Order: sequence, then structure tokens, then C-alpha cells
Amino acid sequence: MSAGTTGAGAAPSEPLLDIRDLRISYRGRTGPVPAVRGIDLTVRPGEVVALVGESGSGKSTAAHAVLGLLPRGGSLDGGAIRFGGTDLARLGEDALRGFRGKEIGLIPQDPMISLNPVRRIGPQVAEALLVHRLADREAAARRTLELLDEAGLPDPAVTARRYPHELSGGMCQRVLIAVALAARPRLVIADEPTSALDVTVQRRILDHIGTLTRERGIAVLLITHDLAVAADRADRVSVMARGEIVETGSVRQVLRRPAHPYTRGLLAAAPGLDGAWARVAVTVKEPAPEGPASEGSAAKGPAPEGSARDGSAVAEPTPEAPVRSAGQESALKKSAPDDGDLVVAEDLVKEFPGRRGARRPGPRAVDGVSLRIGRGETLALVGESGSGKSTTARMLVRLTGTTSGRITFTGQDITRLGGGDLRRLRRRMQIVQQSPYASLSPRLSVAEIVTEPLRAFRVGSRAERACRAAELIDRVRLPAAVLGRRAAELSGGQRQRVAIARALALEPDLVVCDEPVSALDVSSQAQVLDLLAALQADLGISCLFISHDLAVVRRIAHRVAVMRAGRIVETGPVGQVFTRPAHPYTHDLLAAVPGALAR
Amino acid sequence: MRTYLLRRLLQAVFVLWAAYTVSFGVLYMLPSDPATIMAAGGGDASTVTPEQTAALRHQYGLDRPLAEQYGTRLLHAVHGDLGRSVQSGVPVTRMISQALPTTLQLAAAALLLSVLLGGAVALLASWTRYGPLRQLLLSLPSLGVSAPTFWVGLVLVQLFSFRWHVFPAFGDQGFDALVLPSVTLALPGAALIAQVFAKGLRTALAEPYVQTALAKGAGRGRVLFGHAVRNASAAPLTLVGIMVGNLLAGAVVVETVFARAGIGRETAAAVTAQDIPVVQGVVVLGAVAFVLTTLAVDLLLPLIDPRITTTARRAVPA
Amino acid sequence: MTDLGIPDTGTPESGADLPDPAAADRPKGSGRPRRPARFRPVRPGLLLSVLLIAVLLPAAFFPHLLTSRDPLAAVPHDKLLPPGSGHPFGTDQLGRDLFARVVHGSLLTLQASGLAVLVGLVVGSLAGLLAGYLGGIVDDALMRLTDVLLSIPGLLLSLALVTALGFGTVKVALAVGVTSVSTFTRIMRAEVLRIAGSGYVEAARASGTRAPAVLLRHVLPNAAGPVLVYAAIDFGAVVLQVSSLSFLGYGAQPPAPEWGSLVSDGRNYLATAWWLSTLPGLVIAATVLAANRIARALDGADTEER
Repeated sequence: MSAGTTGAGAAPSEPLLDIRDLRISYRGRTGPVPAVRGIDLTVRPGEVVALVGESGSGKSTAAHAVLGLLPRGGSLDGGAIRFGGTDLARLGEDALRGFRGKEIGLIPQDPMISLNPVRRIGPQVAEALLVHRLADREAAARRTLELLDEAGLPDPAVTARRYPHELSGGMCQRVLIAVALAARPRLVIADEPTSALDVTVQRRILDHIGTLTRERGIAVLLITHDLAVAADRADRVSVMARGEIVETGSVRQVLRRPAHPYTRGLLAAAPGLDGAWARVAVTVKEPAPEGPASEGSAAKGPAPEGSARDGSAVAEPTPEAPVRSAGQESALKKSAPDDGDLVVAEDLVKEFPGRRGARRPGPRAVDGVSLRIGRGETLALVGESGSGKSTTARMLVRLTGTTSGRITFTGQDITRLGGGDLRRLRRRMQIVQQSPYASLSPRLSVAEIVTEPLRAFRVGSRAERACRAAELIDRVRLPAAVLGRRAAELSGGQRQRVAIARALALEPDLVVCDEPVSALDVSSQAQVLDLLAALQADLGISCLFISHDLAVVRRIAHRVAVMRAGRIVETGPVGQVFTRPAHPYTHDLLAAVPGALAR
Repeated sequence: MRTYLLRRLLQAVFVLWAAYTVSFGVLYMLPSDPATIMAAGGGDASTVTPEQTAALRHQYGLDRPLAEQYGTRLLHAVHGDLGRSVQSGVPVTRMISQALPTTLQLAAAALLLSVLLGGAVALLASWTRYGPLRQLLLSLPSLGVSAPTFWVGLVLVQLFSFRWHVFPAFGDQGFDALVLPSVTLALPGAALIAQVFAKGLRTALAEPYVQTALAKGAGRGRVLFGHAVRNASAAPLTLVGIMVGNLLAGAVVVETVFARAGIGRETAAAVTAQDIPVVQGVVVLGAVAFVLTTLAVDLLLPLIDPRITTTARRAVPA
Repeated sequence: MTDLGIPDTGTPESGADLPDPAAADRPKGSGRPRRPARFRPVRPGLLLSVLLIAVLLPAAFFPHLLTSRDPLAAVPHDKLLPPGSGHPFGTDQLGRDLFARVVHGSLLTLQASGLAVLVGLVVGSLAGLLAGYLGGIVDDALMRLTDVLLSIPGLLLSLALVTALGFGTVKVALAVGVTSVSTFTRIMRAEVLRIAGSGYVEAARASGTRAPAVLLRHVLPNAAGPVLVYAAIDFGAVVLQVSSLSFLGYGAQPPAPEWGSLVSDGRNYLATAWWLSTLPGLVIAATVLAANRIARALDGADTEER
């Protein structure tokens, strides 16, 4: 990877970017809080270096310091950032401007909000050339079209005249790639460039960044929380934790023989697709998949991500996942008995009302979904954000009405149940929501939260309920001390355990888990998943598990239903779906999971 | 677009009708007796004889059922007849149209001043890198919204008319006489615009797209004027739409302070004399001003922010 | 209406480590990290504001604490004295002590303002609660009504009410209070909707909690904060409106002092006795400034809490 550097100073062996003992702190309420504590990092010309760490590890802060773009309250306390012989840490604002864009490009984290919403695409790309006077207005406009074309955007002339909100997230990120590469920089900093995108788009964007930079000999500093992405794309990896770099080395070295316990923890904590992959962390962590940006784009129906949902993805070699272990198979048989299904849904349809005054109803969020959940069975509903999986779940537990279709629970039609009957039904089906930050009332103590369902059904006396709260908290492996705390004082993982305890309070027959780990850190993800699996096996409850993350699903479900655009495209036992996917979309999803390339 | 305009016009008609109805409800249906109020003419109600009240009641149709009164008055209002002033007997519409020009002059000058002043303060505060100056500029608006208009007017008169003799203290003749009143009327609006615009700019400057622009190598000026200003101007523009009605209301105070002729002073006089038809006319005028300016603003907004389309907006911004 | 568009503020871990520098000093799950964070360096503006209000509020109920003079006692010999040792604010054309009049004026003005805010708060919150909770036709009707009330400039609406009700401090207070109702309604409704759409209310519903219990346990306690904060924000504006109406002469009848009418009384002596309208007006401005400053601090604390 020591391919042709673009002249100017540094010899191939000499580092292009050389960070020494970089220290950054934020202004906290009680004094400066260190975010980066003396890190060393080098990037040689044309090399791809991944900086890996969990959120809060300081990796983005360090990367932004290279460009002199620390967020408000951040200050550079010391160290050197040598770039091609110049110490950027010592430069003033005006001198730094000469480097930004021209020498060092930035591909930001969330493409949907990283383009100015009120300006057309073309001028925003051209600006990167104009600020450095690399072209006059006319030439810049012409060059913009070439750049958009290079970035893989269809019909550059049309795209250039569009506004960012008219493009999908993937297309926006391609525009930002065009911006970053416009002035032919020597280094590109890619800050979690795909974490806000859908799984299938992620891989194509990363591929594209890889191709463009390799062809041009541009070095890349790739910031990611995802070891698998780093493994796929980088030449060297640096692992960062709590503001320090704990491990640096070649990809192979770091993944095969992680020296630092933190790296080992990261590797072990990530749910693997199967045993053979377990050494590679496989998580596809999308922050808030149902967030406003993605929902908005889904609702407005933006142009599809290129025409690129083409054969190449399908032609990708199928991951050869081994068959389920014998133990798992027997567990499956044991827990999926034939004594009838607990829940059966037939041909569910959900139409959200269209805009006020519009005559036609809005788009169908769920379009004819049928599924069944056996007693003691875990069914996973998998799909990308906006596929309608959450809405399906909410219909099942009657939190939202159905437009048409039928739901039966232990043989009883519950589709239109109301009043006291619905309340009695609630006792038998509970939900664990996606965000434990929103699902726990900020004003109540943990004990009050956990016993809320008991209060609602007047179960037991006050003392008995307190007793039950302690029992439930123990059940989800939390210390009894948390009972008196408020939700705000707990971590995300702890909060989600509280939510699980609440769902179990009434000993329901069915628990619906709506992306229960997607808002959590990798390490707490694994713990919560283990807990869920253990509880499900112990208590023999049925579980509907909603996730966008195939790796997570494999770990916990008996059967999988794959959802896309409001329909279920494939259903089957986990082993079968993962080894012999029948539908091309499932194929696509499996192939898109990072880590596939690292096998 | 045409259906949008049509819908907005219907909405405007609804708001006007509703405003008329509300003012009718307030003025004619509240427990107080309009006839007694009118007969007393702002004086002591106990001196009014029952005969006088009854005569007035008949004259203004107040002895008929409320629904019938409402019907006939609304019908007349639709035809441009808002009744006659109790004090002078002059038709309300004529009173308003005669007094409107001077008030419009005042309001337009004040609007222009508030936009210029407010915009300048916000831009300068976002531009300057000198901390104390920014602090000073950002603290000006909260002073502006806290000072009572009538008092600011009097202080200006004291300083500029009586002490320095720069501008006339009272009257409505010529440009000189317009300066102090329009500055007085403009200050609260300018303060609001400065607050909203400065906040918008601060938000915009912290957005990721500004980071993108900085990463391209763009300088402060380019970032502020090329990226932040347009993103930050939707909120102040909406505010301007709401302000116009308030300028009309503010004219009541300012015209009283500066003894200018205009709608404001007519209103103050009408309230003092409890001249119900005139007060209702002014309330409806205020609603008209509000409806027209918000419509104009709503049509302008999509030009500033392409994400706002003319299909999904409601009559009154929250 | 689905509330998909409401941004989910509850997932602080979803972003990268960049935008939330404060997260660094918030250790997860250890002890009580939030409480000590409240202490800040003392802000002089806020301190002054609190002091001023702390002096003014008692004055509104017990004016004798601040001045022993009678606000109505005219001493013709001492007329139009400039501010000095005996009379900190000077005297008026009848020789009445201006300071005593301002202090006693705060009684009427601040009580009227308090009453006006209370009217807006109570009526508006109830309407907002109904609109947000019942939804459907009730919601539509109430929202259209607030639309209309907001389309009439506040001062004009107050003037119409004054015309109908007649003059006097209480009537002015009612007239001003009505103009606040629609904003309170909207805030309460928005809060109710926000909370009703939140995860914990859904969880409560899903676990079978009845509607009234949800309202009492979850919705009201969480909605109260923003509404009360708005009451504080509204107070400053209400003081201004009440004194404007008093300035125009619709408040208390002549000998009784009110802040607005005191400024108005001084108009005829602008050239000769500057203090007559300047000092009472300054008191109004300072009060409003202080009230706004405190409201802003409350608002900040409230936003931070959530």
C-alpha cells in the first residue's frame, strides 16, 4: 500500500501525518476534563489507518484536532500534529485554512445533516474548489459534475441542482465524498462515515471510499467504533479507549493476537455471526435507526441509493456459516413444541393517515404481514429502518391500531379488543422498548418503575410489591442498591435491565423486544442479550425480537422473519435462513454485514 | 400552488370571521351592558336614566335577540360596514381609512428600523471575536424587551427634544416628527429580532454542515454569510409576520405619547369613551394585518428554505 | 397524526463521542452525578435580579416595610423637589413623595400582574390538558380558538376587553390574563402530547395502567415544569402590558398610584421635573429585566433537567 504519493515533501517511508503526545481536554463544570490523553498516531502516504474505539473514547476528538476543528469548549493542551513537515498544532486559524480541504479532506459522520439544507448540491461541492482558488466559477461548476460522477452519483447535472433533502443518506454521503476529494487532498479523515446509514448502503459507501482513495494514493484515517469495519478496510489499526491508544498494529496482528485486555474485551463482546467469525467483532450499530432523519427520508421517498442494488451484491460469495450446534438444535426443538401457537397474525396492514386534508391515505407502513409465534419460542423480525418491523410489533401488542388483518392470542381474536378486555390482555403481553433512555420515567425510582404493572393490576400489597421489585431486580442481575435510584443515575445497559424487569413483573406469556440493544454500547449489548436469552429459556416465555442486526438475531432467535418495505420476504429457522437464504434481499443483508471480507 | 393559495385564502377568511366573532362576543356578550356603557360615554354610569338607555338600545338594535344582532352586524361587516362611532356618528370604516395612512407610515418606518437594528446586532454579535463586545451586544436585546415603550418614548423626548432640541417632541408633520416615534415603536421588535436571529445564527454555526464548510477551508465570513445567515433567517422572518399586528397595537401607546394623529390615538380615545363599534373595527383591522402578513411570510419562506413547501404549513406558526 | 417527527432526545449514546463534551464528566451509573453539577460560578446579573425581586415582592404586600411616608399625603410646600436626601425619588406636583408612590404602586401593579398570569396559567393549562389528552374534535376546536386569539394582537384584545369590562386594576388584570391563555394552552398541549408519546407512557399503557393514573403519575408532573417556567417568562411581559394599560389610563382611578399611571402623570413635567416619569419607568424596566433574567435561568435549569 505504499502506492504513488502525490509528491510534495514526504518520501514514501516517512509518515504523512505524525501525531505525537496529543492532549485535548474539554471545559467541564469543575475544570478541564481530558478527552485525549497523549496519543501517538502515524499515517503514511497512501495508507489506510483505522482508529477504533467505543463512543466517548476520544477518537473523533483526536481526528478533528488534526483539522483544527475542535468543538466548542475543547482545547488543545499539548503535543504535535506534524503533517508533511508542518506542525498543525502550532498554526493559526488562517494558516490552517490553507490545509483544510486542500491537503486534508473530511468525510463527516452523519451525511443527512452535514450538507447545508438551503443550498443546492452543486455550489456546495464547487465551494471546496473556490475557497482555495483552484478554479474559477465556471471551471469549478464543470469540475463539480466530474467529481459527482466520480463519487458514483447518477446523473451529475441533475443531482447538482438538487437540495440535500431530496437525496437519500447514501447519496448525501457520496456528495460529501466528492467534497472531501475535490481539491485532491493527501489525507482524508473519514469520521464514522457510514454509521448513520443503512446496512446495505454502508458497504457500498466504504467500498467507494476505498477505491477512490486507493486509485489516487490518498491516505485515509478511518474513525470507527466497529472493529469489523476496521478489519475490512484498514492496513493498520489503533484501538483507543478512554482517551488513550491502547494498541496499535497491523490488522492481522491486532485481531489475531490482541495484546491489550480492552481489545480482547471488544472482540469477545461483539456478537459474532457464528463461531468461526467470533474473533472478528461483528456489530452493525446504527445509532437510533428509527430516528427522525431516516424516518423522514423513508417517508418522503427519496431517490433510491443509485441504481446500485444490482447483481454485484448478490454475486458476493455467500458467507459459509456452519450449521447450528447440536445443543442449539435440541433447545429449539424443546422450546418450540406443537401445542399451538401463542400469537398468530394474519395479513396485517397499517396505513398511517396521510397529510391533514389529503384524500388518499399515507404510505403503507405494514403491507400484509402474517406471522406466528409459538409458545416458548423466540421469533426475530429483521429489517432495515423504515421496513415496518416496529409498527408490526406495536400492532401485535395493540399499542397501535391495525388498518386491516387479524391478530389472535391463544386462539382469541384480539384485533379489536377494547376496554377491560384489552387491559386484561396487557397483563399477558409486555414490551421492552428500543431506547431505555426514553422508556423510563425520569421522576420515578427504579422500584416504582418495576412495580408499575403490579400497581396497575392491584397485585399484592405494598410490602409484597416491594419484595417482588427486589426479586425482579435480582433476576435481571442488578444490585439491590439501584431500587432507590432514579433512571437518570443508571447507565444505558442498567436502564434496559430495569425495563426488562418491568416487562417480567406480571409474568407475561409474550414479551416483545423492540431493538432492545441498539441504543447500547457494544459491551452492554452482549450482556443484555445474554440476559434475555437466559430469561427466555428459564421462564419459557415467548418472545418477539425486533432487530436490524443479523448478528444479534443469530445469537438469540429460534426463527427469523426478514422484513422489507412493509412485507415479510422470508421466514424460517435461524440456521436455514443464515446458511441458505432464499430471497435475494436476505442474501444482500448477509453479505453486507461488515466482517464478511475479513474471513 | 394554486390550491395552496386557495386554501390559505379560505383560512384567512375563517380567521377574520372568527376574529370578528370573538370581538363580538367580548364586546356584546359579556355581562356588561353595551347600552349603559355607551350612554355613560365613559363617565359615571349611575347618571344615566333608564329612558336614555332604552332609546340607545333601540337605536343600536341591542334590544333584539343576540343571534339576530350578530347576524345583521356580520352581514353588514361583510359588505364593509362596521357600524358607526357612538361618539361622533361617523362610519367606522371611514374613521379607520382616514387615520390609517399616518399610522402605516409610522409602522413601516418602525418595521424597517427593527429589521435593520435587530439584524445588525445579531450579525455583529456572531461576527466579533472580541468577547466583551459580544456579551454587550447580546445583552442589548433583553434590555430592549424589558423597557416599557411609553417610558422609552418619554425618555427620548426628554433627551432629544427638551435637552438637545434635535427632534420635535410632539406632532405628526414631516420626517423629523417621525424619527422619535418610529424608534420608540421599533425597539421591542428590534430586540426580539436580534434575540431570535442571534440564537438562530448560533444554532446554525454549530451545525455539522458548518463543520463541513470549515473543513473545505472556508473562512469565517463565508461560513457566516454563505451558510449560517440563510439557515437562521426563517425564524426572524416568521417573527416579522407576527410583529406587524403588534406594531399596530403598539401605535396605540406611541401615538398617545407623541400626540400623533392615527389609528392608535383613535383607539385609545374610543376605549376611553367605550365606543364599542370603533374598538371592534380596530380589533378586526389588527386581525386583517396579522392574516395578510403571515400569508406573505408563508409564501416567502419556501424561497429561503427549500425544505418548507407550500403544502404542509398551518395558519399560525406555533 | 403520528409523532414520528419528534426528535428522540433520549439516546445520548447514539452519536459519536464528539458533540457531547459534557458526557465525559458524567460517569455512568456511579453515585448521583447530576446533583453536584448544579453549582456554578455565581452570575452577578442573576444575583442582582433575585435581590431586586426579593425586595419588590414583599413591597407588593407590605409597602410599609420600605417607606413610612403616605403616598397620598400632599405637602404643597415640598412640590416638585428633585431626588435628594429626604425624598429619594423626589416629589410630584402636589408634593407627594414619589418613592412612596412607587412603592405603593407596586402593590397594585404586581398584584394585577400576578392575577393576570394566574388567569392565563389556570385557564390555559386546563384547556391545553383537555386538548392534548382528549384529542379529536375537542383538540381541533381549542386549537382553532387559540389560533384566532393569537391572530389578534394582544394589546388590542386587552383593549377590547377593557372596553367591555370597564376600568380598574382587576379588570385590567383579567384583560391581560386572557391574552396569555392561548400560549399556555399551546405549551400545555405540546407537553401533554410529548409526554403521551414518550417511551415511559407507552410502557405504562402497555403494562395496563389506566388512563387517569397515567395522567396523574406521568403526564402532569412532567408537564408542570415547562408550563411553570413559561409562567415565569410571561410575568415580565404581563407587567409591561398591565402598566401600558395603566399608562393609557384604564387602571386604578387617579389618586391611587400605579406604575404606569405614575409615568403618565409625569408627562406634563418632562421639561422641568425629569424624575417624575423617568424613575417610575426605570423601576418598571428593572423589574421586568429581573423577572426575565430569573425566568431565563429557570428555563435553562428546566431544559437541562430533561
